Amino acid sequence: MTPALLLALPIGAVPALAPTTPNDLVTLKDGRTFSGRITTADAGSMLVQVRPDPDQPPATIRLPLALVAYAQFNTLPRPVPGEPLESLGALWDRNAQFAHIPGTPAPAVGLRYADALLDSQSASAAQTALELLVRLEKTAPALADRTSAQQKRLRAMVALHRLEAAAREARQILGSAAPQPLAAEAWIVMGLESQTALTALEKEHPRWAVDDRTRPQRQSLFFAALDAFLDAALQPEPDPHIASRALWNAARLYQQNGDSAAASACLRDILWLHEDTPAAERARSILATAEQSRELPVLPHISIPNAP
Amino acid sequence: MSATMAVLASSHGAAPPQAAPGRPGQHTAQPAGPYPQPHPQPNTGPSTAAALPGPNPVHQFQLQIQAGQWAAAARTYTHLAQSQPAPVPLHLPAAHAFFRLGQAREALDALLRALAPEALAQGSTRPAPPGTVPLLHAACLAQLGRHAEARQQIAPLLSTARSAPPGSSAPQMPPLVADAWFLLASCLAAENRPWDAARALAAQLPSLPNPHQSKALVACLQFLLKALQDSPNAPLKNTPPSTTPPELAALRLLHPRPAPPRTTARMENDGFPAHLPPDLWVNQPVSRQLLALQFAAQFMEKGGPENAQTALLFLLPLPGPDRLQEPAPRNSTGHERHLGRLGHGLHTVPQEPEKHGTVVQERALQEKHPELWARIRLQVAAALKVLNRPREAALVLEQLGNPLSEPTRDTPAMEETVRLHALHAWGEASRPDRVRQAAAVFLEKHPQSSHLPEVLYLKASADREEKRFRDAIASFGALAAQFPKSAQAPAARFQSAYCQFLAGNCAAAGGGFRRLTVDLGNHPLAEESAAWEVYTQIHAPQECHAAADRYLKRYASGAHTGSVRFQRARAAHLLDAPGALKELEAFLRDYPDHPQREEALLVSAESRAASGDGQTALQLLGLIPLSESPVSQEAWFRRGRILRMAGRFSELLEHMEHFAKSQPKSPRLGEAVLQSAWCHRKLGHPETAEALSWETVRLHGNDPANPGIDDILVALCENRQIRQEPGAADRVGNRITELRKEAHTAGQQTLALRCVWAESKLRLKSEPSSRILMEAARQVRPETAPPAVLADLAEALPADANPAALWLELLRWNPDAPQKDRALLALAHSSQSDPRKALEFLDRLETETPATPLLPRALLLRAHLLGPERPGEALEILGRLLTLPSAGTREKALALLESAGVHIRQGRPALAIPFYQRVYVTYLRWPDLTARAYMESARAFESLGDRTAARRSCEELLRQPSVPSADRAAANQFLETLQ
Repeated sequence: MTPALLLALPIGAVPALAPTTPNDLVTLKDGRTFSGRITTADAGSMLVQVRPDPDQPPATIRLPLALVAYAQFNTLPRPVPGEPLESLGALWDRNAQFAHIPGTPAPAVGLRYADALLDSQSASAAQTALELLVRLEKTAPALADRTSAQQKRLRAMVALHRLEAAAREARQILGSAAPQPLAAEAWIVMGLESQTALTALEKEHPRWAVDDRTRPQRQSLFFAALDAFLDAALQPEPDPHIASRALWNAARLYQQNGDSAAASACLRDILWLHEDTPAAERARSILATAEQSRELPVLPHISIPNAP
Repeated sequence: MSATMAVLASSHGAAPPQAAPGRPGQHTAQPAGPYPQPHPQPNTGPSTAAALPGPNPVHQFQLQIQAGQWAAAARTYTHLAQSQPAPVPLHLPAAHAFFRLGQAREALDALLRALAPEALAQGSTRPAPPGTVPLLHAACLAQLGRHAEARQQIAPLLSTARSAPPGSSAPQMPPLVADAWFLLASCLAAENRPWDAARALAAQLPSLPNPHQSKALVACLQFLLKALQDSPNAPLKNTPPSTTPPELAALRLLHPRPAPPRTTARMENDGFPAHLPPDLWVNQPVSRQLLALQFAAQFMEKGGPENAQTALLFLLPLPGPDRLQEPAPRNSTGHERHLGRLGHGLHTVPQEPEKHGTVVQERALQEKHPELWARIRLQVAAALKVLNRPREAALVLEQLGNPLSEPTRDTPAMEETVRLHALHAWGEASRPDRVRQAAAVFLEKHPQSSHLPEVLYLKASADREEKRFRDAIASFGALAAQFPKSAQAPAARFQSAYCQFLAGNCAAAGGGFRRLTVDLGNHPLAEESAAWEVYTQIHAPQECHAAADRYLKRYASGAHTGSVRFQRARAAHLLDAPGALKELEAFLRDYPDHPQREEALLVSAESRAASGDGQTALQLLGLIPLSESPVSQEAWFRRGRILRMAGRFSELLEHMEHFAKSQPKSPRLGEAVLQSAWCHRKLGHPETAEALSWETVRLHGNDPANPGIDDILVALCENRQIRQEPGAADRVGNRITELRKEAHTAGQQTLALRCVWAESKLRLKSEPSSRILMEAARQVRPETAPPAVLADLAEALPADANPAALWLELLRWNPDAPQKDRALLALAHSSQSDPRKALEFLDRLETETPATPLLPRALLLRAHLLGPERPGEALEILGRLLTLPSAGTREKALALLESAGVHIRQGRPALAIPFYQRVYVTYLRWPDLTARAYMESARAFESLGDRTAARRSCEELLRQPSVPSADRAAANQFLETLQ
């Protein structure tokens, strides 16, 4: 049977194939399994290259996604720890077309790529990450992936200075029973919103400390930001990257409040509780500098990379 | 898998059964040793029952062994051994059977028979797989408590495993060797060497086969927990770097992750693997949480912040949902389970109901064990409290109390407790806003709680801290009324009275404290109340004295006796009572270190000076050292006043110069310098006096926060000499110009601006003065300008130059400036087109500067703004103004005119006329206002149709001696219309 003929045949005419490794495996809802290589996919179907007879050239079949229960992608390359941004981009390019298929590794690749883009601290990369995450949020079959994409999208929005919109969304998230990493990110966004308002108020009222009228408002914003950051850091079963970012923000806030001791305590918390995060590396070097100069250096306003 | 199982399986050629990993739902994680009691299990080897029927006891024994009938086999063997020596090949299976039955001694005997030289010489012992016999031997010895011998038995078996370096990615060891390691660790633990047991087992963790690995992990942690219990208090950070303390090892096992190089080296030195598989705990989330909690509890029990911090380290970074999940349901396929672990399980396939995929599983874990979960979070909160971080503790407790995020909703008692702790934690964190929120939630969720008085008290205290005194008084009062028998009731009554005091209602506060003193009897708060009755009455000497008398009669040696004695003496002094001085001196004698000693010295000195004993007064004031405190500085200036009155100018000069030198930032610097200058003039050195003032300005003039400089400059520019002595103004002007240039060159912007301002003062009321100020106002940098200067600049600006912007800058950079009232009034005036905004400024003026002399003007403006819309309120305000002692005659006249205007606007001219009449009868001092009153009353009469009275008013106006010409012309014109 030629590939062209196979493509023209209805699914029922194609015999289910015994699984062989390291091929991809596609399991239909009726229990049949197809082994081969998933070559391409579109919104409604996927093409699988199969070899019914080892002596024959491979044939390609089109499987409507409506019939597919899940697919096991064994032939697609996976990212390795420390994979550079460019390679992740290339991997995503290969995976992206499969992002909507149940069982696809594409969302995991995309999320890793988005993290790397956000960590690169460039506006254009953040924009790319945002677009990617919006797509994943719409298409990823697993809700966990969609939630993760939403969490990272909030981060991308902050990186792109769309804090107001991010805060609006964060409020909605916190009003629902959101899963922990997303809730923690939402708290960080809320904290950043309050901190931004705090900075603006301090600029408008430089002598707020002796102003009975402004001081309560200022303190209220300070505590709103602090509570939000600490809430993010103290979520049960925290994601260490999000928790350490939250603590970093809390340290910056304390520093803005002139409380270097509390800021240092936050940095030590990062070291103590999340020592294998990139934030811990930064905290370690900053605390070492502080020890030498007996003064805490100004903490930079940068997002701490997520990827180890 | 137990050692016995492995031995039996291997000795009969059967595949080793898989040990079940710790069940996730099982709370109490047990260590691998000491051995659990064995129980009969069917053999899994090939059945030979059909081939060996018959009464032969040897065959019967073999059948029983293969069928797993251990007890029967043991009986057969014993029977055989009693009648004749049992055949040698039966000894080893019999040993297995006895061991299975927990009869270690019999098992050992049988084993020793099998291993006897004659048996071995016969060669008839069935060969067992390598290692099984020593392992069984060791297991028997261990069961008999001969742990050292047991270890010796398995040492050769373990030597091969030891050859692999710890932490290396060694291949998985055979289950039999793994069992041997378990046995070794059990023996070490039984020998009271839990630390060695943990190390021995942990070193093998990476190479253990999977089912063993999970059990070994739990066992290691149990051993470490035991080691910790036995060890002295040795917090993590104080451990010597050459050893790996149990807690560090436990942390690594509980939270496998890449360790820093230093830690890695330390761990490897102690035999612990530095790199552990990250999914080590994937099947045992509950065991992990429980162990973490046990470790944390262990540290919390030791007490102290360092141990609390270590406890947090165990609890806080427990892994997130992507790494901590329960295994997928049993009926799912292996592939589904795999997907489930990756977070891509079937539950996330779109046709499934939309739920939060992995979160569903995470929640399941929490919901299955809510109490464990709550205990963990409570322990976290407790540790944070020990670390004096109540804010974080409160947040954790609130998360726990929030049913959205935590599964405590089925345990209302715990929910209530958690909320109560959170409330207290917010209180400790000095967060009244959160206390109020948390209290509101508590009161809504637990209206029947027995803790209601406690919660109401916390809420009312929060109101007090936020200066919401009215709410606080109401809340404290309600508490005392609703729960009069509660422990909080007396304190609530006390706080209610205290809030009255804080709100400025001293009489009400005093009454409250007095009632409480009587009602409370011997309650500890009775004395506090008696003392506070005294303090609340310090502005009413009579009442204060009486209250102090009552206190001292009841509590002669109470906690407040010193302070109350001082207050009574002070009140006596104010009342001019005989014996006041003696009382003050007695206080000073009896309380030489009392905090109010300086105040007492000041009052005593005042009393002495008033009685003409200046010398003693000087001595008393001399006992108060000069400092930044207002009392000390007041005492200094009082000494100066006595010296001045005594004509001791040289001493006064020295005295004031000392003040100027030692307190250059004091708001009274100008006063001191001016007094020094005055002394110089008195002593015949006028030029020195002026030079001193200029020098002070030069030295401190660039500090915008030093108001004393402004006083000195005003004194230099506006004194009598300037007005009377020809050329004096030019001389001062030249000096100012010189100083301004100097300041410009030195970049001293504030000093330069002050010089410009001083120049305007010098040319006061002249055209150049306002021009100078306007010029300066356009160039001023508000952040460097002293508020007094800035206010004058803003006032000098014409309306079209937007003075409001400068007033706002004044408030922005000097929110507590004494010129705040001027700024707010000016802003209210300039906002009249937007009455709401103007009224907001006036509200601020009245609340933020309650003692302002500008209050009458503010009330006038307020009435003017309210008049058109709310005439009743406007009239009320104007009535209040007329009774104000601080209101001047002009303001009163204006208030009357404004009142009349309100009535006119309301179409009630008859009611307006008396107000006009009061103006031109009482306030002739203000001709412009008098003229206006006459004219307006004439118009009012005219509108009432009384043209005669109207004409009379105009004629009276024209008879006044100093009527402004415009008013005179208007009166004449109106008269003509009346003709």
